[in-house]
Amino acid sequence: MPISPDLLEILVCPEDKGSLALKPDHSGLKCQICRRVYPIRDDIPVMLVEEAVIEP
Amino acid sequence: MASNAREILEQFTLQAEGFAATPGMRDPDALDRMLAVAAASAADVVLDVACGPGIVAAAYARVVRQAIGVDLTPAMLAQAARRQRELGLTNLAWVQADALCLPFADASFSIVNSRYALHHCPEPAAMLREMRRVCRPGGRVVVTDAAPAPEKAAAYNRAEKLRDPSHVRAYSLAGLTELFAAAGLPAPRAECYRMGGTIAELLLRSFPLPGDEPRLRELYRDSVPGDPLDMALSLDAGGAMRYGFPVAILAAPRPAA
Repeated sequence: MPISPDLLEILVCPEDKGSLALKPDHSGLKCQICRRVYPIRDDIPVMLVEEAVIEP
Repeated sequence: MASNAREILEQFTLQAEGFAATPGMRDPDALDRMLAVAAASAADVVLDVACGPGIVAAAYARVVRQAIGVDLTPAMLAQAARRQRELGLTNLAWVQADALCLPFADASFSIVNSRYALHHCPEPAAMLREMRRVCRPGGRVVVTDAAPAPEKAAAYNRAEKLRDPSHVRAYSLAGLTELFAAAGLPAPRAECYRMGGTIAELLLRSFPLPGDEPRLRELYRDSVPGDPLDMALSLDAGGAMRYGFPVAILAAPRPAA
């Protein structure tokens, strides 16, 4: 099941609590403050700082 | 991340298959008691912290508007997602996250729950503080965990650490109440019960360090008289050894300030 809008509304970056934007290809959630991208694996967001990649 | 994150990940990847099949974990009476203590209703939005295979979050989802489970272990979340598909619950979602660093805005939930997890956490007050943070004022923080009698807690913890190397420390009811206070929560309401089963079945889904299982069996055998471990060990009519873990459900409202 894809990530629900209800869940997206309350999820934030665990590092700085910044809001997140779903990547257009639905592969991850990008923090609007620190630009970390948290991967989505098997429809489950992986909200661990050590699993995130900082994107430009 | 918690200092024992590696042990947690190793133990719970091993335990992921068997954990959900354990009768004590699925006991509908115990789940109903938890829902009652939490005063869960159709208006609630629930977070279950360290949700494991999703039994608790799924129990909430039958009653509340929306439930979310977070866990550190992908193997547990895979089980949870499978359970959700089998049950056909659509108001349920899963997130991989650390209990000490929850990826949610302040005051996101009306119930923040955790069952059989606090004793795995080396910083239980920090975990409760984080649960309080994401709970709305007037919402409830609900914790179910082992709560051995104060005078037996040290022996209980030694035995449990032998059975499960990721066990950190279970607290007495008074100790748990102090942890609530340390996290800025009022004194919780508490209900106690025993979670029972057979030792044979318990050990089938336990992963003690190599060589420790015979020691553990010996300890259990020696601990029937007087119940020094507060595990209510006994031999049934068929000669099988039974246990009854001392469990408490605690619930406190999250204050406005």
